[in-house]
Amino acid sequence: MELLLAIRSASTFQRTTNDFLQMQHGSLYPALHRLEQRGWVSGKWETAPDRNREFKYYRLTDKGKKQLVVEESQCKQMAAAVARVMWPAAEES
Amino acid sequence: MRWWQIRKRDADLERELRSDLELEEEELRERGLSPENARYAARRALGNTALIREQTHEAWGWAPFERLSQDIRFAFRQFSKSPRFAFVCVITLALGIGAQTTIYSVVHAVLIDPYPYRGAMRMVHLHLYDKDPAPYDLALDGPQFVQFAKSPVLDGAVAEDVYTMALTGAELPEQLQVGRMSPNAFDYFGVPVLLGREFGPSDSDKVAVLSYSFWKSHFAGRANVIGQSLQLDRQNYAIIGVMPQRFAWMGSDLYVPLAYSSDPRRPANVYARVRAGVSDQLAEQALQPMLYSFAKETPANFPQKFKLHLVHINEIAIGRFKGFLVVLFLSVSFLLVLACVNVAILMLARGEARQAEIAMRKALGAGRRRIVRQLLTEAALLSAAGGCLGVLVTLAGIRLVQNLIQPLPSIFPPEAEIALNLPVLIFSVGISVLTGIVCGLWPAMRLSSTELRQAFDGGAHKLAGRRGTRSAHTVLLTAQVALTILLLACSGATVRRLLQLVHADLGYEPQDLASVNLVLREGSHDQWADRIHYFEQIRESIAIDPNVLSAAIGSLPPSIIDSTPVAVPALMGASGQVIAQQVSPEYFTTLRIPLILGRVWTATETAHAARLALINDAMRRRYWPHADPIGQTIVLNNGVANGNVWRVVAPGDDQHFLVIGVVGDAPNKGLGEEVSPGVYVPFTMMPFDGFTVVVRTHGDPVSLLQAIKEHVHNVDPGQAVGDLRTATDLLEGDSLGRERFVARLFSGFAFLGLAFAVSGLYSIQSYLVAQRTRDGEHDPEGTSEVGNQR
Repeated sequence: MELLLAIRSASTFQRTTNDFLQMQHGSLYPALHRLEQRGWVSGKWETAPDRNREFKYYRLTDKGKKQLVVEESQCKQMAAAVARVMWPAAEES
Repeated sequence: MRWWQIRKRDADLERELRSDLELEEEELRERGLSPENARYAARRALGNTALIREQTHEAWGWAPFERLSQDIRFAFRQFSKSPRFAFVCVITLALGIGAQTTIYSVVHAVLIDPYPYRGAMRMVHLHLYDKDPAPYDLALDGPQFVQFAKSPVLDGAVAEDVYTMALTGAELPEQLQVGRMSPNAFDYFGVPVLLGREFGPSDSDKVAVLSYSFWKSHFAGRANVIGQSLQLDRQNYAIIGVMPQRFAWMGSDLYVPLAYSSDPRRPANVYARVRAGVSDQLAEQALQPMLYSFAKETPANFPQKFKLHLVHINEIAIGRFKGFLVVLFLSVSFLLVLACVNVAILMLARGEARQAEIAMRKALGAGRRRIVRQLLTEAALLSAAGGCLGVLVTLAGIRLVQNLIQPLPSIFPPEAEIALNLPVLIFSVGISVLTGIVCGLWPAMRLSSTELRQAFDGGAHKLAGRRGTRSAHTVLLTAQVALTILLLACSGATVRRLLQLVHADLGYEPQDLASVNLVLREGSHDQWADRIHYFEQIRESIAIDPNVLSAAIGSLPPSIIDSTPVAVPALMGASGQVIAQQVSPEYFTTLRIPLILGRVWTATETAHAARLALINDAMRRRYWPHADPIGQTIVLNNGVANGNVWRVVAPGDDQHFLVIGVVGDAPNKGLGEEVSPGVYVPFTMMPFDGFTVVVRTHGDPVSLLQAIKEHVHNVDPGQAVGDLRTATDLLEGDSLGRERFVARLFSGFAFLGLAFAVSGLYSIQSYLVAQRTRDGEHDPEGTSEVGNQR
C-alpha cells in the first residue's frame, strides 16, 4: 500500500529505485487501470494533506492484498531461481 | 464495465493525467527549473497522452467498440461523399433480393407446395394405366378400401366421390358439388375445422361440413350456422362444421359422409398418402399385387391389363407448367446472380478508385488488419442496408402479388396461399450480403500484394487500369449482358407465344358463346328413351329464349376428352385414337364450325340414334387424304359400348358408324396444340347422367343464367342448373391464363435484368470517367502520357 502511494509520479518512482528502474511514465496508467479492472486496487480522488488539491489515490483492496502475497512469493521464487542459475557456486557455499 | 460509463471514465482519466502532469510540473519547478522548461520536461516525462489513453482504453476492454464506432462514423462519411454509389448499391441489393424472393415465394406457394394438408407432399392420386394414354382413377368398394388403407407402404388413404347434388328448398334448385368422403377423411387431411366439428365414423349419413366459400356465399359467414340444416336432393342434412378457407379438396362446396357399401357397382375413388421414407416406386410395387386381387373380385371397376402409377397431388398443377418450371427457376436465379454481379462490379470499381487512399492510410501507419476492418465495416453496412431494404421490398412485393392475382386464376389449386418463403429470403439475403462483403474487401486484399509506390503511380499506369482488374470487370460485364439478353429472349418468346395464342384461328367463334352444365338427380331418367327426350326438352326450353340465337347439346372446345380407339375396316387394319364427342345437330351452327363436306344428321335421325358420324378435317387428312370419306364406315371403341350406372346406351349397342360429313378443325387437345382426329356422333348414343348445353346469345351471355334457370325450372322444378361458363373464360382458364402468367413473369425478369445491366454499365463508365478526370487534374504531365499510351 505504501508502495502504491509512493509512486504517484514517475520521478518519485525513479528516485525510489535509485534511478535503476527507468520507467516509461505512460505505461503506469494502463497498468493501474488493469489492476483496478481486476479489483486488486481501488482509485479515489482525495485532497492531499500537504498540497491544497485533489489527487487520485489507489489503494490495495482485500482481494489485492491476497494477490500481492501470491505475486510476492512468485517474485521471490523467480529471484531465487535466477540467482541459482547465475551464481550456482555462491548458492552452494 | 458498461458502455454508458465510458464517457465518465474517460473524463476521469483525463483529469488524472492532467493532475499528474501538474504535479510533475510543480515538483520540477521546486527543483529549480523555469516554469516553461518545467512544463516541457513534465510533458516529455509523461509521454504521448493520446497513446496513454488508447492503451488505457485497451486495458478497460473498450478498444474494439471504440474502433467499431470509429469505423462506422468513417463509413458514413464515405457514403456521404459518394451518395450515388451507396444508393445504387443498396437499391440493387434490395431489388435483387426482393425480386428473387417474391417470385420464388409465389411459385412455391402456388405450384410446389400449395396444400395445407398433413403430409401433402406425400399425397398421391392413384392412376391405373392400360394401353390407353388417359389413366383411370383407382376406385374401390368398401371392404377393398379398408384392406387397401391398411397397407404398410401407406400413411392413410381416403375414399371420396364428388357428386353433383341439388340444393333444394329454395325457389330454384341450385347445383352443388358435394364431396362424399369416407368417415376417416378429416383425420386423414389433418386440417382443423374453422367452426363446429368434423364428421367421424360415429356420425349419421345426414350431416354436412361446409367449405369456406360456400359458407361465405350462402350463409354470409354467420357463426350460428352450426346446427342449422340444409336440403340436398330433398333430404335434410345437419350442418355440423365449417372448414377454413384453404381446405378446398376437389373444389367441393360441402362435404358429407360416404355411406360405404360392399356393392361392387358403387365404388368410390381412392386417394392415399405414401408413408414417409417409402419411394413411389416401392409403393407401386407393393400395392400392385393387392390391386390385381381386387381386380379379380370386381373386374368391372378395373381396366383389363393395368399398371399402377402414383401421381403426387401437386404434379397436376405443375403439369400445366411443364417445361416452364425449370426455365422459370433458372430465370429467377439469374436475377439474383445479376444483382450480385452488379454489386460486385460496383464494389470492385469503387475499390479500384480507392487504392490511392488506402495506400495513403497504410503509409500513415494503419495496419493491414485495421484497413481490412475498416473496409469490412463499410461493405457490411452497405450490404446490411441492402438486405434490410430487400426484406421490405420482398414484403411489399408479396403484398402486391396478393392484391394483383386475387382471386387466384383457376390454373392454380384453390388451396394455394401466397406467403413469404422464409428459407429463400434468408438464402437470398445471405448470398447477396456475402457478395457485397467479399467484393468490398477486395481493395484491402489487393493492396497487401502491391507496393505503395505502385498505388501512387500516376498517369499512364493508372489510366489504363490494371490488367487484372480490367479483365475482372470485362468478365462480370459480359456475364451480365449475356444473362440479360437471355432473359430478354425468354421474355420475347413467351410474349410471342401469348400473342400467337390470342390470335390463333380457333375454328369456331368464342364471342357470345357460353355453356351451362346440368346433372340429373341420382336415379332419375334412367331409361334411354326417357333420358334423351328429357335432354331435348331442356335444350328446346333454352333455345326459345329471345336472347338465345341457338342452343345445342355438346361441350365447348377446347375440351380435353379421353380418346377412343377407332378402326376403319375399309382401309385394311387402319386404326388409332380419336376424340369422339356426342353432340346434337345444332352444335355446328351454334359454334359456327364450318361444314366442309356432306351433311349433318337430322333431328329425327338423332332421336332414333342413327349410327351416323361427322369427322373433322384432321381425321379426313389422316385416313382419307386423297379419297372421299363420305359413305365410309368407322368402328368406335372396338365395337363395344360400355354402359354403367352413369350412362345408358342406345338400343342396338352397335358402334359401327357411317361417315356423312366433314367439318372444320376446332382445338380438341387444348389451345395451341395440334388438332387431333375427331369424330362427332349424335348425343343420343350414350347419354350420361349429366349434359352440357351450349348457347350462342345476343350480347353478353352472363346475364342469361337466371333466364335459363327459369326455363329449366318450367320443364322440371327439381332440376338444378350449374354455373354458366363463357367460351372466353374457358380459353383463359385452359391455356391463355398460363401463358399470360408466364409472359408477365418473364417480362418482369427481363425488365429488372435490363435495369441491372444498365446500372452495371453505368457504374463502370462513371468510375472510369471519374478516374480520368482526377488523373487529369492531379498530374500535369498526364496529357502527354495519354499521348504516349496511344
